[in-house]
Amino acid sequence: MQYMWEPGMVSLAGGLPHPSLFPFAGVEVDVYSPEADLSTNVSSDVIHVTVPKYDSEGQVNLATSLQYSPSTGLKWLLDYAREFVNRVFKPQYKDFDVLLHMGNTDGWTKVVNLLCEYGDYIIVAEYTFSTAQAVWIPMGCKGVPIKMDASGMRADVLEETLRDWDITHPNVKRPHVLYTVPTGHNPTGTVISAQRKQEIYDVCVKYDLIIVEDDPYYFLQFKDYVPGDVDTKEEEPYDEAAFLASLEKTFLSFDTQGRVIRMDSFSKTLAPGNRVGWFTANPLFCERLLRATEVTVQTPSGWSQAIIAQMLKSWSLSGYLRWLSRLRLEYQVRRTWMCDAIAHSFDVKKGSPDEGLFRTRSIGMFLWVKVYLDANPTFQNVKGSSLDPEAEYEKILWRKLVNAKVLLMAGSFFTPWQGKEKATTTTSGREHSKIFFRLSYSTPTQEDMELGIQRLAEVFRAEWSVPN
Amino acid sequence: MYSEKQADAIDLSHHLSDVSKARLVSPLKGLQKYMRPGLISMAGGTPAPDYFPFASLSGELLVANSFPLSTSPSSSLSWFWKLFGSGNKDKTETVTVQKWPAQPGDLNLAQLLQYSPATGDSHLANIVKEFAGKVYQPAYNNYTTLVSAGNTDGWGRASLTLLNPGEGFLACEWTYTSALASIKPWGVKPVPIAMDGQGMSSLNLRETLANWDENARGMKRPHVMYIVPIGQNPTGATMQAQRKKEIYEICVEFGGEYVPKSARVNVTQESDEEKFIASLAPSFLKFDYQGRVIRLDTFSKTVAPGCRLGWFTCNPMFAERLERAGETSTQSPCGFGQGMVAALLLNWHYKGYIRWLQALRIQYQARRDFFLDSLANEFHLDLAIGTLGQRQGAKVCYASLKPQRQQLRLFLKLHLEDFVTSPLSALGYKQLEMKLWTKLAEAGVLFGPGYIFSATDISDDMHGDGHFRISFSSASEEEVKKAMTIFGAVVRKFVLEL
Repeated sequence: MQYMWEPGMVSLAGGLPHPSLFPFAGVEVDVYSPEADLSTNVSSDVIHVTVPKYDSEGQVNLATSLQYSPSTGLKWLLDYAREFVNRVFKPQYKDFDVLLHMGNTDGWTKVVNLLCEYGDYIIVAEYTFSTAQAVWIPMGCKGVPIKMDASGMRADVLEETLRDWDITHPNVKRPHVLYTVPTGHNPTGTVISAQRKQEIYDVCVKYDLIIVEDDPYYFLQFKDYVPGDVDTKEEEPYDEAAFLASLEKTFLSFDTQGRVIRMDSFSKTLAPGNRVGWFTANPLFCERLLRATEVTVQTPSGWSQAIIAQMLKSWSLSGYLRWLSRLRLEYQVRRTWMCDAIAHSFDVKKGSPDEGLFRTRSIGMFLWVKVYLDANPTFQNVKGSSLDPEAEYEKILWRKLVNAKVLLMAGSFFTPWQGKEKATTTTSGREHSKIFFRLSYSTPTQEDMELGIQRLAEVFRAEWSVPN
Repeated sequence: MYSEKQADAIDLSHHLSDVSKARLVSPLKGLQKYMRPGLISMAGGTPAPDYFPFASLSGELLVANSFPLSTSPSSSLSWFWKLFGSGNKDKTETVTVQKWPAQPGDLNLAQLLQYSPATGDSHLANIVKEFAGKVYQPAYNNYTTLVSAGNTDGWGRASLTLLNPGEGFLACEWTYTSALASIKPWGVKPVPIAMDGQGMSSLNLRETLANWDENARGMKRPHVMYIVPIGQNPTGATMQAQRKKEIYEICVEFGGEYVPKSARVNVTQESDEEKFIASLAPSFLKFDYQGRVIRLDTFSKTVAPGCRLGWFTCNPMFAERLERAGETSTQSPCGFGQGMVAALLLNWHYKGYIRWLQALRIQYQARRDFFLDSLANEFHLDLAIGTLGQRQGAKVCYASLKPQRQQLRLFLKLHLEDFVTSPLSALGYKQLEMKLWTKLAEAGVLFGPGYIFSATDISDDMHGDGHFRISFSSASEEEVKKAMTIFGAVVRKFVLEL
């Protein structure tokens, strides 16, 4: 195919429709300025971004983006992704490459098909993103849950698990893929510290694991929770270097060997409907992922690529980073609303980090709440008769919450699938007398959060027979 | 239009692959039924639309009748030049999609750009359902439609939903390479069926299925067929109603599923859309009284490939399983694309889209005719009767072709072995084909090498006729002329040196 790009070549090989027959003469998008005030519902601060049908200078245009195009993605967006990776993540090896995908779920599916066979075991955190599991469960794969603490997945437990694998799982292939959502972990909201990342990376080098870094919430990194802090105005004048320095380093930033496949997405930073993101990985993996892409979706939508490329050009990379720093503050305020609402309805005491996973350091979009059942009368009743009293009581409590008109995600949705034999609390090695709920603060209004938490508190009071 | 006696689809769940059967409903989808007014949800992990930095999206749309429905002599040059030129003075209309809906139910970016179910935007979903019903007229009641990210995604999902590793699927002996390539890594093999002028041969299909020897073949009798019945890729063949019916009945008899892929619609010079629909070679759906057909449609050839948008038409059981497959991969297609295509079709309406499709076909027909004229200018084209007489009586016959009623490309059959006298006779036809292909490439012309479209591997020593697939869908008039001149010079020199 090297002939295709030779100047003067007449190609009658591909079956491309002619762009004059694309029924669009141009597209115009009004986008917010990177410094727009997001706290009001209306943005008057807009920038007009246009994508013409044709462009004689090789700039972004519809005739190219709406045509069949290379599966790597269009050059404009790829160049941008490379620049972004260099500026923000700084991988420790030189020949990394980038490749577009249609969002991290699509990316993860491709990676699973790249690296995993039917029946493989995959290293995951003790609670993990449910959709990511749904990709490999039908392939007969199983998760290997690794305990977490305040800094995310524990490196010591990881090492032990891999070291003892042949004893605990005789004649079973040792896992070679580690899946992680290291920042604003779904569902627990933790962030893996730089030091912990280095430790985990070292274990992965020792046992030859590939780290798949699924990191859509990376830029939603907040300060510690301060009750009542709802100010979205920045404290000091914005400084790009300071903003970047304030972010926890990525696994990619520790990657000296090309073991990390990192997935970035525009879903949480621009909008999910874009269906665009990119991989950063070593050239071999990129080439294999490209081959897989060519015969599945081909490329991300030409609309998205053109609009985002044009928008980022208009904003510049610095503008996009500015946007991210402001977006972060918006979600930080939402976390404050949620934590404040909990403080208004409950007695919140500061405990040691081991006593609960409700950490003030939670970032991203979720609060992970650990519920202790020792003093719960219904649970005590259920304990005698049920094979899995925690699971059963979780259902009962969740239903009561729904009836009280508040909807949460039950923790059991996030437990790694380890096969039928390890599906109960006991058999999967989970803690007794504890259940979890994931609370999302990304979309409800402040009023709804207050009201929702009040309803939650009423149900809890009733369930624990606490007088009003 | 519809038969009063139509039934629902029969139960075909035994066709599902193991992976498909194991797919679970996504937990988030399972929560939908609890969403009642007054319920406060802190369950979903979607970003707040307030923070989507898009205030509005406007598309400048060509009007549905931008291209003419006939080629009259006086106008032939003017719009033809307009076609190849870039200074378009097209009539356009602007449609705008705002971030928030002005009226409830309006297309809006807050919804289009949010996570959404794999069923896609409701406006687009309704449009394609209406279109499928009116144009394809499925022969059973409870057909449904589901958006996809184009036909490649469509075949990817359909094949994984129906096929287990080690199984085979029926395909024409010459078939679309990408469909073969996508399924190969899963250990699924194509089972080629012979073709004739209309595409897949029903005789050969019946013979193959009736005489299936599981031991000899090393796999169970195939239960899935992949077929491009109109404008077949690469041959351009178009299958008529009678043949489709025969093939369908064979599939009922042997219990098979189809996945027909169609990006193209047949055309005549009608301007009334009902007459137009009636004049089209019907889809397999029209004969599908059991719900065995999974039809893949795409906007790639009728709007633009970069939309990455299309849809499935099939029975509800398959649609549900395909939706589950979508949830763990592409999810819902790009919101911008869905928005722009929905806005376009809401502006044009069904009538306008049919008008557009009719005109599109005229455009491609004109390109085909121009190409054949150029070929005739360079070579001497003789009409052959039957397939054997073509070589006899001709002085030198390089190749033969069958112009189809409707195609974007030509599958040229090469007769290079007729010229081989020298030691090169030890070469199989694939090597001859590639030698000529390389000479053409070096001279500045690229054709599609035929062997890549074969459903079976062609070994280096096989004898027969090579092919080139020649596309004329996007080349300019000058490029076509230039290509034919070079082709003429190169092939004449090539056969002398054989």
